[in-house]
Amino acid sequence: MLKALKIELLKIKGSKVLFIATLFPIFSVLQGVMFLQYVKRSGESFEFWRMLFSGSTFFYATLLFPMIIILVFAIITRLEHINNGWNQVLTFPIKRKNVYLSKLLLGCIIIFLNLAVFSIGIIIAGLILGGDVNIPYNIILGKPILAFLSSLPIISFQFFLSIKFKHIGVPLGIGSALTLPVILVINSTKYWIVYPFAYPMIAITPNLVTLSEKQILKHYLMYGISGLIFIIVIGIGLLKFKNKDII
Amino acid sequence: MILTLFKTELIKQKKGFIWLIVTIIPLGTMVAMFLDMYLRYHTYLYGLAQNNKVTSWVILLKENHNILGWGMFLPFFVSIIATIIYYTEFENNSWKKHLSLPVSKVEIYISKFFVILFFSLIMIILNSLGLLIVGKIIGFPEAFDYKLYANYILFQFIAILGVSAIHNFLSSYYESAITPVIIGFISMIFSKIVLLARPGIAKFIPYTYTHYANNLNGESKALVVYGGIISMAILLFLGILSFKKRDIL
Repeated sequence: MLKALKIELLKIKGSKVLFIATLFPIFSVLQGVMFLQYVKRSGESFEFWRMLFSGSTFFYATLLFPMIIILVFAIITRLEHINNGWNQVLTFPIKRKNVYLSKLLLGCIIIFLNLAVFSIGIIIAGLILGGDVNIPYNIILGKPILAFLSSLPIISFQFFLSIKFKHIGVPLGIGSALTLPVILVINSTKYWIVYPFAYPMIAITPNLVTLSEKQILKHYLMYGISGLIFIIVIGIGLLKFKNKDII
Repeated sequence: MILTLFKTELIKQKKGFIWLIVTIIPLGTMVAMFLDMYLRYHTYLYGLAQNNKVTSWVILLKENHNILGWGMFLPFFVSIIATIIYYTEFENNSWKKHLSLPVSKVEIYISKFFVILFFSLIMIILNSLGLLIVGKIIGFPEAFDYKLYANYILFQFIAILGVSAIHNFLSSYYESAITPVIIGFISMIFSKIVLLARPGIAKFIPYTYTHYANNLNGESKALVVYGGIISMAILLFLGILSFKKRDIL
């Protein structure tokens, strides 16, 4: 498994995937900085770190983060789709299961890197802008970790599509069509739970108001559903991959 | 000859994924807008329409364009369409065959551009058709505003001319299908930021024109029309120059 992962890491060395993973969170942090400065100018009282984090997360969690997941898996699987790469990979003395899981793990590592850049970017930007040293790490580091856990359904679904379809347009088109409604779905306290593409936004948003017991329960339920969907989709994908004839 | 090439291109895409993409994306927006209207129309949006003295159809259009983000995403969807259209050539290594035919490179390049526009237009029409269905299901009290939606389709189409020319070039240039899509995605995000922070500069970026396509006042109309057509003319011309010089082996 570790060997397969090392091979995967070598493959992405010259690709644009790491560039994408690190560039986009910086965009979002810059947006957060702009938002913070806007609030400062308005003269209203505000909590510095919370405001910077909120300003950075809105665009990031509703749009960028799901799109990055879509792009990352499209890129890392594309390397095998072109030039009959699957044929070559599957002739190596490595188990199919390891090939599949190592690609999944690689994608998860890149997505985690993306979130790490986002968190670290916020901390650096905050310190530059004169934020105090009492950094709320539980929000700035904790919320992105929760966002990662809540994004497991998107990860598994996009990984499944990217492996299944040779044509890159399919995972990109379906993924972006499903990302579009997120902004609307999160407005519904009742229905967001049935739309996993909205989970990262729900997970990353700092709770500005005290949640009701029902809402808190829904949040816990979200992580349970995320894990369950992940296991089911990855399981089905792995079975299909193991039995697939690649000619 | 361009028309013949255009027809050939359509035949190539007959059983391709392009049809899936141009239908699934508007289907997604239709479902999203239905959900939006189902949840908020009677409690909030209808009142908003009455307060602003506009019809429910105007509110639906604005929700689709601004809140859902169709106006922002449209150039990105065009980039996906362009990538799919060129993908067949690179995948089957069929450039050689194409260029050995007694057809000029310019005609091939322009016919591809028309195919991108054709599928983008289908996607735009399906999006508006989806809005019509949503309005009818929700039961808007006003009659459907045909003129408004026809204008909406027309101005979106003009707004994507420049972006289509850019992605016609990029998709023909890069063998890797992912590169033009990434460029499209970065440009979409970048143009949104520029639009918010520096609206004056945004007028010169073709990716922003779709943002204006719903606000059909005089200034926005002029910007979409002049911006779309001029950027298309310049970028298509530059693309043709580059394509003519390119050796495709």
